[in-house]
Amino acid sequence: MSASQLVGAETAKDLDEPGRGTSWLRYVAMKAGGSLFSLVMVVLLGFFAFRILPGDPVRSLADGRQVTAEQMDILRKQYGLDQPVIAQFWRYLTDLFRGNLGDSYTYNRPVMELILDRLGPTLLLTGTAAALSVVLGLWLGQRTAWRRGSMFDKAHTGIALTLWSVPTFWLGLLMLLIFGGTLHWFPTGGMVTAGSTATGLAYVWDVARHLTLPMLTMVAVVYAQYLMVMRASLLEEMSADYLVTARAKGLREDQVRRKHAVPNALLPTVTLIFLTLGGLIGGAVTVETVFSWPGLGYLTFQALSAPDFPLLQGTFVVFSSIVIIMNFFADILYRVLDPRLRTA
Amino acid sequence: MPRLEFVDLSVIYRTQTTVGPGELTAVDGVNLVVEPGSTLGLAGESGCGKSTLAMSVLRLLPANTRTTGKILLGEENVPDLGWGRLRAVRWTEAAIVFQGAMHSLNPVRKVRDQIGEALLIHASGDRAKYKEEKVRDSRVAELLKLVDLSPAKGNSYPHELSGGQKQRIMIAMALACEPELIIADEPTTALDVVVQAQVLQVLGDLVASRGLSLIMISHDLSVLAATCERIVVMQRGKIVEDGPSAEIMRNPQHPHTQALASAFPLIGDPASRLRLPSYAAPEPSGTTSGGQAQGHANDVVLEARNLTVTFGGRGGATNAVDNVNLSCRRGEITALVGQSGSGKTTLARTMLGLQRPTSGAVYYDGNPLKHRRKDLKSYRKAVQFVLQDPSAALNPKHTVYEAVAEGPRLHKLPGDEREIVSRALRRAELNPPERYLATIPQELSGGQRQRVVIAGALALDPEFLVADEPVASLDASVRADILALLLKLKCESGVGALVITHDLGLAWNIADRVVVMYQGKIVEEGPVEQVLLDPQHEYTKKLLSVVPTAQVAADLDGAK
Repeated sequence: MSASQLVGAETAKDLDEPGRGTSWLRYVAMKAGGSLFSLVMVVLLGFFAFRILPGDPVRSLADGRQVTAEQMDILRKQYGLDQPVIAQFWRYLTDLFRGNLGDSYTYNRPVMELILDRLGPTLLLTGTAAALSVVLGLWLGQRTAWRRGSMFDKAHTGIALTLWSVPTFWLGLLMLLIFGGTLHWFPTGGMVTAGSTATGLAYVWDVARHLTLPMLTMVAVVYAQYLMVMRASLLEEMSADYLVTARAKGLREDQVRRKHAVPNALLPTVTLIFLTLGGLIGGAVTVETVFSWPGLGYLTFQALSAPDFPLLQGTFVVFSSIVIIMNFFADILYRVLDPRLRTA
Repeated sequence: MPRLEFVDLSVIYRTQTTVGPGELTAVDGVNLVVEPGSTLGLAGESGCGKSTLAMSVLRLLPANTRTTGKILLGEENVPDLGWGRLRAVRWTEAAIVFQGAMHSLNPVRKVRDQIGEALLIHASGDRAKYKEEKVRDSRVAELLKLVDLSPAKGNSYPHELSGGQKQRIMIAMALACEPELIIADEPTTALDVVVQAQVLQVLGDLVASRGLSLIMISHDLSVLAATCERIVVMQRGKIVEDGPSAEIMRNPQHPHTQALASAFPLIGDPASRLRLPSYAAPEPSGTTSGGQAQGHANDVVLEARNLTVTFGGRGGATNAVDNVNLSCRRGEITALVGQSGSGKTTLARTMLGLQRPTSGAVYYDGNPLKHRRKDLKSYRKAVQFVLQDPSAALNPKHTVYEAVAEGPRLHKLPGDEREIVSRALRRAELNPPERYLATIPQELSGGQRQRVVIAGALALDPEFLVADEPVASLDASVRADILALLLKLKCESGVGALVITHDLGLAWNIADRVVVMYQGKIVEEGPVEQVLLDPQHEYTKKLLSVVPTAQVAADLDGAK
């Protein structure tokens, strides 16, 4: 290449031309690899963490009953607890691959079956609560940011932060007391009325009535974080130069907000939403317990009070896997939303 | 075609200070007429009100401003327009090319859509056809071709484009609705000289071929002179000088115009060689490059030998610095010139020991630089550095005293710390030092901050300074003062420097030798007069072709 070619008019244009980034396949493979590694760690932790816990499961199983040493040995043998830890671990791994999480001590049923039974109610509760709080939080977040300093802003951030700082169980009990106990507007526990044989719409109506209080409790506690993050990231975007460009072009104020500011402000919020969705299911433990909601959280609570190791192991692995999978989705979605990541 | 007229326009910002609400007059009683089809340059330093004046044309000022007076765009007074009418006027009668090629485009939308958006919202009357996506797309493609971009570039997101490309997208966007007035607010400030010339060319040609009016804002008089017929100089909200470009460039009347002009010296003009308004190198002491070279011919203090720095990447490794040999002599200022991406900053970082070389080595006083902690520490006492942006280089929570005392404290310099700090501040011309000791960076001007950074370097009594674009973020008048300080340090204390810059004028002002870097390689080096007045390499010639030189000025005069 001669010197004059080197410094042609196009030099600078080509010199600092940014290159294309990694391919989709590569990106997904990388993120999936990372998630898989986390899952393996969870499986390992799930086994060993519960072995370190103090307490002899067989003794607590037999708690309050007259049992002979022989009977204890039989129980140990039945659950494989007489074998060395390494052998137990091997069995745990091979079973896990076959989708078998062992048998619950307290329910005498396969853990997998129990978890699948309870997964539906949990997904129903956390799904509706998450959807509602995300919509509410993001909507209020952008309104408060756009009208920063107004009464609307002050009132809403105030209310949201108060609810956010209230203990979940306390708020749940208060709701129970007022709307369930005193006013009798809603049932106080469970997912369906005991002994009810309703089907079709009547069944849906019954579940919806039972769902209302636990769901509202969850929404009240978590929507604040969506509001605050959306508000903060929109405030940050509001001084951005490209909004001046948009205004100069003649866009209306609400178009400037909807078409330019919000899409950018949503980026950090999306990650947070997915991170908290996983956490929300974990947080269901308190709400489900307070409202006797027959979900995974309630199951975990019961497993903890036993303690029922296979069941705890099972719920632990399921909860953690949900969080990891949610993070994986967040990574993928973030790349879809933010073109800059595609070349990063 | 509308005529733009400012009648006794004032713009006042309401500010919130520690002592309560205050007011700041950004534009102060400006009267100015821009005739249809004319080109006007608006010059001044940051904060002089030139951008405020431009933004007021489309009423884009923030809510805490108040305007008095009139802005007549054609028959209409902009401050009196209703919102609906104002939105219709925006972009169709006047459009703005914003400065921040980086930030003025929405990062998550394709540039094609951003250009198309302007067409879509004004798709009424004559432009109703742009409601159809197909018509709009072909118009966008046409606009991209106007600014020398292939229509395929429209599918890019802003981050996929270079600075010059983004700025041309902004120009294409401004032209979308065929406005009759274009306001360009520092359109090339963040760009390299070569790219800058290209963008100005595109803008200038379009304005001329369409007979548009242009208001161009810049702190750089030479940029304005190249594109505008007339230049207006502003200072503290007021117009201080107004006249034809050639006249202002050749014979500036107001002291502020003179200060602005001095920031961009004519290369080849003896009046600005080793000479700044506030300091001139003493003639006889052998500070001319010839004398210097003789006096210190073998006195190389800092040297790079066969230095290569490679940055790995999936797409193959890039040699940011490619087998470079560079020597800096004691008591001499060497200017390392190149455009961004040329590897000059990587070279400087490597010479400071901040970056390990892939091969080759840095020599200090003839000894290779080792990357052990202890060796680096003693090396850093002798070779200090000054960074580009003083606001970012100083810890905002530290007082000036803390900032300057940190170095001596780390190196456990003997003597009274307060005395060392005061002496360093005095050497950096912050007089009297007592006044600055307790201040924090926020309370200082940009120039004062850079002096504090330099004082921090001087506190260690270094033999040599490495300065990375020391004046690039500073205003024109401050630039001259900081350069004068560097020149004075060299002449009076014998502190040599390696100054990294994209600004050939800086080299002409203060350097003894100049080294030109291009794509990681040194393509030309030698005494300033030799390289800048008689460039050999194509790239040096290219750089010189886009900056004001005495030759060009002579041509300009001849043409008159």
